[in-house]
Amino acid sequence: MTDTLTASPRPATEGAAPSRTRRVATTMTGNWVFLALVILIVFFSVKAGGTFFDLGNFRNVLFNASGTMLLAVGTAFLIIGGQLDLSIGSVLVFSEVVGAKVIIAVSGPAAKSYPDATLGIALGIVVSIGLGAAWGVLNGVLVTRVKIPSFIITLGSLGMALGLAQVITKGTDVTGMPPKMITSIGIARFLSLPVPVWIAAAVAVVAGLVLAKTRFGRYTYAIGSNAEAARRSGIKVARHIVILFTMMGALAGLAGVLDVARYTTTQVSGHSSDNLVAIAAVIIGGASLFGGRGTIFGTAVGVLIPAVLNNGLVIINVQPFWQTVAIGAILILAVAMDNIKRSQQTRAS
Amino acid sequence: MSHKNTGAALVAAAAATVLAISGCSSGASDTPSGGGSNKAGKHYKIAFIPGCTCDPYYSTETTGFQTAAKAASVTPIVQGPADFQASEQIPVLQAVVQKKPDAIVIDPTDATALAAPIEAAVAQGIPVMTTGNNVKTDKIFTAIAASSIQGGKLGGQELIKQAPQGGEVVFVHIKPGISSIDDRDTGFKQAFQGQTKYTVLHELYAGNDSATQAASLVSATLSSHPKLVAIFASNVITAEGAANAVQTAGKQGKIAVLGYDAGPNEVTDLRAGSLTALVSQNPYQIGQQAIANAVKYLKGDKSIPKDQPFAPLVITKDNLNDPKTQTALYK
Repeated sequence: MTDTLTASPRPATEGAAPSRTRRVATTMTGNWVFLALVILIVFFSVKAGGTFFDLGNFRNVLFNASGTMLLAVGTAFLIIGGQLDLSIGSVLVFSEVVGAKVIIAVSGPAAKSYPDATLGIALGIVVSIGLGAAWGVLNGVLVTRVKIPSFIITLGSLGMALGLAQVITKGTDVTGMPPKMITSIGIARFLSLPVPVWIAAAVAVVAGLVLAKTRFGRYTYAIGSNAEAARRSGIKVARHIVILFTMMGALAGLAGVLDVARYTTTQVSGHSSDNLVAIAAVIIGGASLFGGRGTIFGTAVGVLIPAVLNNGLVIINVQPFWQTVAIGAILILAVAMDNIKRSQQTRAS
Repeated sequence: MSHKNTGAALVAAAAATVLAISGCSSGASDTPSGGGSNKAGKHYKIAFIPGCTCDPYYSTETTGFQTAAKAASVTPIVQGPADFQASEQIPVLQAVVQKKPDAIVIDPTDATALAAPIEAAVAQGIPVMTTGNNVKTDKIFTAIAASSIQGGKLGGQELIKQAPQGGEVVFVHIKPGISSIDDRDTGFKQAFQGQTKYTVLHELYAGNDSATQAASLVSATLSSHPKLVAIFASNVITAEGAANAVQTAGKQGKIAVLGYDAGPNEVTDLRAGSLTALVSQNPYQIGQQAIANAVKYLKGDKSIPKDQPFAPLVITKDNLNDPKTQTALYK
């Protein structure tokens, strides 16, 4: 892949050379992380054979990673655009809790085997995504109007969303959903892969195309690189940022739907570190915490590396405590690679 | 080009890290041959998945499990999530299922969420039993636990003994849905039924299962309820928090504080007086019973009862040094 890039004709204007180096550097780092993922898969396959290298096992890994993938895609857009959202776990919980209550309320009594289950589920999904998007709008508006860093604003909304979810549920999880939720979404399979995996894959592909090929994507990179320059060149920066946060919130709501569909229950206290996992995935994938650089392909790899590690280390019987050591080490290596890229770009330009 | 070599070096370093970690910390327990040869004296491979690797209750249960496994020539596999969360335990369970053990012992972190993954394991031909918490499926072949209802009741009765004058009492919960904690709460309330001298306050929910959170909740209750005479802390971590809060408020010795489980810190607190009673579930024994029951089932014994609760032990300063009590302490 790198050969075709370096073999493309040298542009006539000198100003285009840094952007080509930047493109090559980004794709190469994306590829280095992809190479690391391939090395991991090969390593575990050699060490554990068919126990690891098995369609059923890969299906499980992808299934368990599908929620994180959605969150990481939204986080990637935000980080590339120079923002952070720490509230995603709480927004997910709030959305799934209200969505689940709507599903139960509309689906009808269990005794009559949930006569309106389809309507209830459809409504619950819309409500969950809508509420997530609403939190996103709130985050975006606060960040752009109050001009406090997104880190702080979303730290606040993290507390508010989770607290409200706990007020609504009194701290318990919502159970008792119609089985149709699980059988038609959670464990349903299409071409032998579970539906949540297809949903996560579809979102990732669309997001990747939007980021790489559309004006919206280019504006996101521009705002992340230099928001002031973007504003002066006519980009409506504030509106764009609100849209990024809204997308993130909607994706958190969708992840909440998948959460409920997979586990048959909400997980009110199970999402407190989702934000860090998503940020780590995006950074491992080659994005810069300072904004302006990153890819969805890298993000997907960044989601899969900890997932494959967690799975493989259990299979080859490594003590559980070492697993968190391994993931922390890989995160540091990825950031180190980012630093090298940045210094090499400063030299190239 | 130097940046390309550095990148390659970093990837190689990453691979080397994983290799080194797996090399130097592989549990000695996994033999390359699959589960059980057909010689006389069959060697079973039995896996144990605790609720988390974060609690002395589970490390003690693991020790009992591994000791009994060694004695029975069973190859143990022990893997658990870092936090007491279903979303972390389910991938571990699924990875363990890939290793095709002969049986799985699991302490489920959520009675609802773990039902489908456990049924999937049973469908793949691996019998599953639970210890500690329960799960909402009947496909498990047995469930061993110290009866949390009995433990709650015995603990409540001990608190009545320690605070005979009457007053307000409170139960420090974690979050509803953890069956063992819910049962302790039920037993606790049973002990105080009809006891008109006592008022049972609303439960405190330390949902993050952290000692700091428990301590702040208990502190707040101590300030707002001067007539508080007894606290029932439902596990090791909430007990540490409750003991700290009572000490900080200077109410040590004036309030009866019971901590469920008998971890090393709790025993120290009991000797020091910031905890006045403990309830031990004897996880060491549970771990051993898990191996015994799993081997019995694999050898064809289908008469194992589905539910095997046993009575927990209440420990106070009076019986702490009895030999029987000493074996029930967690390491």
